[in-house]
Amino acid sequence: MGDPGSILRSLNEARNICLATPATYPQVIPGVLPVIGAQQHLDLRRWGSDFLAETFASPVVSGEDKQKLSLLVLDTLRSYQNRREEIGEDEDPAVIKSAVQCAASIYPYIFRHTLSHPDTTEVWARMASIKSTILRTMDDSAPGVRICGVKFISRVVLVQTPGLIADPRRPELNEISLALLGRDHAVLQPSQLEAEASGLLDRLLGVLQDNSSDALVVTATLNSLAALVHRRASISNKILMTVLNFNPLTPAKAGLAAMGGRERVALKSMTKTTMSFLVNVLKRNPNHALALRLQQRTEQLKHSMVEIFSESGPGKRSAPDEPTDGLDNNKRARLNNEVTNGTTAQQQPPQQSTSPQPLPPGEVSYRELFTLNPDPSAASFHVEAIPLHIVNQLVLPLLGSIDSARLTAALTAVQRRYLEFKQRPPLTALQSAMAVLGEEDEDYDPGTEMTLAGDRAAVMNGLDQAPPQGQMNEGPIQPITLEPGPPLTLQEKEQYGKIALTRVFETLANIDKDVQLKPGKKVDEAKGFNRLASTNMGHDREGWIMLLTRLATRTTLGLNDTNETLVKQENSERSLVKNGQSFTLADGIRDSVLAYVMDDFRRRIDVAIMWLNEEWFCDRLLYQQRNTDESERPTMLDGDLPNYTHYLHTTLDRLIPFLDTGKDGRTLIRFLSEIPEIDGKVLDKVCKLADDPELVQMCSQVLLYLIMFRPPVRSMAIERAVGVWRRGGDARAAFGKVVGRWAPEVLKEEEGGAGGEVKGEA
Amino acid sequence: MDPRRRQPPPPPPPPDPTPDANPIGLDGTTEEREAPAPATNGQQVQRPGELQDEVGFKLKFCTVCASNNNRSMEAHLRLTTAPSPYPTISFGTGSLVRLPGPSINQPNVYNFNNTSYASMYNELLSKDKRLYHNNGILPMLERNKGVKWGPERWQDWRIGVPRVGKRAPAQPPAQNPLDPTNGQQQPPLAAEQDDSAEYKDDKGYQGTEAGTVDIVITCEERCWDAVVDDLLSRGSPLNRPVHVFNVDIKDNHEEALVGGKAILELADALNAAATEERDVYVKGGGGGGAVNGFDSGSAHARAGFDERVPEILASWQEKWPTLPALWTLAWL
Repeated sequence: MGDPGSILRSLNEARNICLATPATYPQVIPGVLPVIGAQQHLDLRRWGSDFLAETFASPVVSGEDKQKLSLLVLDTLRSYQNRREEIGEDEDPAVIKSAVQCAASIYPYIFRHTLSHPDTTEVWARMASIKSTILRTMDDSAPGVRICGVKFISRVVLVQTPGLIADPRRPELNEISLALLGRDHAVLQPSQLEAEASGLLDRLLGVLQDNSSDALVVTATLNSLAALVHRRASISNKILMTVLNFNPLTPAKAGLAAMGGRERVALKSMTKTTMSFLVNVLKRNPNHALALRLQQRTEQLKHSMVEIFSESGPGKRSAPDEPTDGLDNNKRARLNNEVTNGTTAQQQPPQQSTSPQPLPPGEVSYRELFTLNPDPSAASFHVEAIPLHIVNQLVLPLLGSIDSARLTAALTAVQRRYLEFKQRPPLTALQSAMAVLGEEDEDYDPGTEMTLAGDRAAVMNGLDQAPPQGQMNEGPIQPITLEPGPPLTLQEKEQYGKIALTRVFETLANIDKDVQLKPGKKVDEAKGFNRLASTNMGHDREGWIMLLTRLATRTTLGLNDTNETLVKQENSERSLVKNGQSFTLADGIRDSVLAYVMDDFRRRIDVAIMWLNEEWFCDRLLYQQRNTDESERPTMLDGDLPNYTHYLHTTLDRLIPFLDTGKDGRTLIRFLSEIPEIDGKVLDKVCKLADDPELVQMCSQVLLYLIMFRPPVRSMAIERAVGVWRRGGDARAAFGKVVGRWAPEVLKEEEGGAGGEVKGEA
Repeated sequence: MDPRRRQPPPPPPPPDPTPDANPIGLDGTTEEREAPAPATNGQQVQRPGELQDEVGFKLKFCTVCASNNNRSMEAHLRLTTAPSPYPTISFGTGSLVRLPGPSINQPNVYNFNNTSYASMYNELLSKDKRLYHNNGILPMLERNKGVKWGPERWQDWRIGVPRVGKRAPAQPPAQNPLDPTNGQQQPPLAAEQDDSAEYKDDKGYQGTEAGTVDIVITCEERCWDAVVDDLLSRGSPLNRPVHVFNVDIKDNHEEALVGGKAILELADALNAAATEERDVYVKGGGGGGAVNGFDSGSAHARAGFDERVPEILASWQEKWPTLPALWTLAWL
C-alpha cells in the first residue's frame, strides 16, 4: 500500500478530471474503488465515500451511467456498513454518512436494474442487505447518520410506491417507481414492496406523531417528506394529515422561560420548518383538498409562535414563573375574580353599598333616589344599549342569582332615603342655590380674596379644579342651574336661528349621503320621536326629520299661551306676520323642509307627509286651546288649520309642475291619501292636471283613488271628475269610466241631453 | 487598502505529478499559504505520525441575501479572507438585482447571473459618481468585484453541477435526460460576455468545485423562507443534508459589516464542531472501538456535529442577541 498522501493527491486529480469532464466517471470509478475499500486508510475511506456520494448525486452524470456504476459500488458500500462485523471496529460516522447518502442515491437505479434483469437476484439481495443494515443501525447511530437514514427511507418509500407513468413509450424518461413493476416479476413482489414502503413511511411519520422535540430529526424528516407529498399522490394525504397534527410547539407548554437557548432555537426552527412545509404544499397546489386546513394551520402556528416568543425575546429572559396549578397567569387572574352568583367582583357593588350614601340636599331625582352604587360609570350606563334578545337571555339567570339579603338591604336603603326626603322642609330657591354651591362657600373668604389679585387668581384656579374631584368622591351628581344668559336681540335670534337651521340640515344631508353609500341599512325597531331619546338610534334620517318637523310645528306652540288672540292672528294672517318679522325659526324650518322635499320629491314625499301630519295635529291642538269649550272639529275651510292649509297648498303648488307621466302618479296618490285632510281647493289643483293631455290619465287615477278610498272627499271628488268630464277634450275618454261608475246618472242625463241635441240638430 | 480586498491570489498551479513533501489538502486548498500560521488554531495542529490535511477539514458555505450584493457578499468576503478561509459561494433570492438609485422609487435594476459587478460599477460610475460614491454603492461594488464575477440567483443555482471552468453562461448539461434542471440561464447580453470569467477566480473557490455546500446562511428571514421553499420544491435529488441558517441582518453597510463578523464566528464554531467530530474518531485509534472514542472525546465532542448545531446556534445567539437566528436541516 502506497503513501496515503500521494494516493489522495492522485485521487483528487482524478476527481478534478471527472468534475471537468463528467463523461470520465465510468472509467474513473472502477479504478478508484480498490483504493478506497474497507481495508484502506481512514482518509482514503472518507474521501472515497464522499466521492461516491457526490458521483451518484451529481446531476451531470447520466442515469444510465449511474445505473451501471451502482452495481460496482455495492460491495464497497456494504463493507463500510459492516466494518464492525468484518474488521472488528466501528466505521467513522463521516464515512457511514456518505455511504448512506450514496445508498439513497443508488437505490432507484438498483431497483430499475433488477426490473430489467429479473434473473439477477444477487444484486437486489446485496442492496437489501445494505438497506436492512441501515434500517437496523440508524436509530442507534450518530444523529448525522440517523438523518441520512431518514432520507434513505424517504427515498425507498419514493421508489416503492406507485408514481406517475409520464410516457409509456419512453420508459427511460419515467420516474423510477413501483408503477414500473409488473405483477409477475421473479424477484420483486409489488405487494411486498408496497407493504414495506408503507411500514417505512409509518416509521418516518412516527417522529412527527410522537411530537418529538429533536429538532434535527424533525426538520430532516419534514424536509425529506416534501418530495413524497409532491410526487406520490397515494400517500400524500396521509403525510399531510400527520404534519397537520404535528405540534412543534409542544415543548413550549411549560413556558418559554423554562427553556434553554438550545430548546428555543429548536422550537423556532421546528415551527418555521413546519410552516414552510405547509406553505410549500399550498403553493404547489392552491386548490388542494386540504388547502383551507393548511392555511389555517400555518396561521395558527404563526400566531402561537409570535405569542410564545413575544413573552420574552431571545435576548431577554423574564423571571421564571412556573405555574404550580397548571394555569397560566391570565386564567388565574380571572379565576381569582370569580365570585358567587356568577358575577365577577367588578360587576358587584363595592362594600360600602351596604351603607348607601345619603341623598344630596336640594331637589332629588328618581334616579338619585334609586342609585345605590356610587360608581359614576354605572349611573351613566344606559340599559337600552343592550339588545333586547340579550336582555331576555340575561334576565332569568340574573333574577335567579339575586341575593335576597342584599335585595332587602337595598330596598330598606331606598325606603330610608325616601322617608328622609319626605321629612325635609321644602327648600327655598336660595337654599337650592346654596345647596349647589354649598361646600365651596365654606372655604370662601372674601377678605383674602379681595386683597391680592394674584391670590384671587390662585383661589379661583383652585375652585375651578375642585368640583370634579369633589364630585368624584361624592357619587351622584347634584343638580346644577346655569345662570341665564343675556336676552337675545331680534337680529341675534334670527342669526342664531339661521345657523341652527343650516346645521340641522347639514346633518340631514350627511345622513342622506351615508344612506346612499350604505343602502342596506337595517331599520330600527323604535319609531318616531322616541328614537331620538336614545343616543345612537336617533341618528338616522327618520329621526332627524321627526326632530325637524317637530321643531317647525311646535316651536311656537305654547310660547304664546298668554295671548291666544295673537296666535290666531299670527297664524291666520301670515302675510302680516311675515312683514312684521323677516324671519322666524319655525317658518325657516318649514321652508327648508319644503325645499328639502322638493329637491327629490319622489323619494322624500314621506317627509312631506310626516311634516303635514304634524302641522295638522299641531293646528288642532292650537284650535282646541283657543276653543276649549267647543267640541266642534276644526276644518280647513274655516281657516281653523292655518299652517296646515297654507303649507299643503304651497306644497301642491310646488309639486304639481314637476309631475311627470309614469310613476309620479303613485307619488301623488300616496301624498293625497296619507295627508290628514283634503279640501276642495286641493282637488281643484289636482283637476288642473287634466289640462295637460299627458297627465289626464294620472288625474283620473288620482280622483278615482280618492273616490274609492277616501270617503270624506268622495262627493267632492266625483263632482270634480264630472266637471272635468264635462269640459270634454282628451279628458272625456279618460274620465268616462269614472263618471260611468260613480255618477251614472250624470252620464245618462248627458246622453239624454246629447241625444236631444242631436235630434234637435237633425 | 482593506487587506481583505487584496487581489485574489493566482489560481493554484496544476498538481505536480511527482510526490510532494507538502500533501495537498482534501479540498485542493493550496492558495492560503501566506495565511497566518495555522498553529494558532487548534484544529490545524499537525500531529506527527498522523496524516492530517494541511489546512484541516472545512465545511462548505453558501451565503444568501436578496440581491447578492451587500450582506451576502460581505459575509462571503469575511468567510474567504478569515485566517482559515472557508470554501464559499453566494447567492441572492430576489427576482432582480436591485441597487439604490437617485430616489427610493428609481432603483437601479440588473439581471442576475449575467451582469458582472464590474459592469454595474462602470455604469453607476458614469451615471453619478458623487451620489453612488457617497451612498456607498461604488465602494460596495468595488469590494464585490474582488470577490467574484457577478451576482447569482439562488433559484437558478443548479445544485451539484460542478463549478469548474467558464462562468455563468454554462450550457445546461445535455447528457442527463433525468436531470430536473431546466434551461434557466438565458444567454447573457453580448456586452456582458466575459471570456476571462472563470469560477476559479472567485474568492473561496477551492472546495466548491462540486457545486454543493454543507451550510447555507441567509441574511433575512424572507430569504430563508425562499431557500427552504426552493429546496422543498426541488425534491432533494442529491440526498445530501444541508444546514440552512438565517441571521437577520438589516440591509445597510454598517449592519452588513457586523453581520459578516457574526457569520464568520458562527462558521468558525460550526467548523470546529465538525472537525471535532472527525477528530474523535481519529483519536480513538482510527476507530479502535466505541470504548476508546468514549474515553478520549469530551462529552460535547462525542455528540456528532449535526446534533450539536442547535446548541452552537443557541450559544452564538446569546453572543449576538440583535441578530435573530433560525435554522433547519434541509436536503440538497
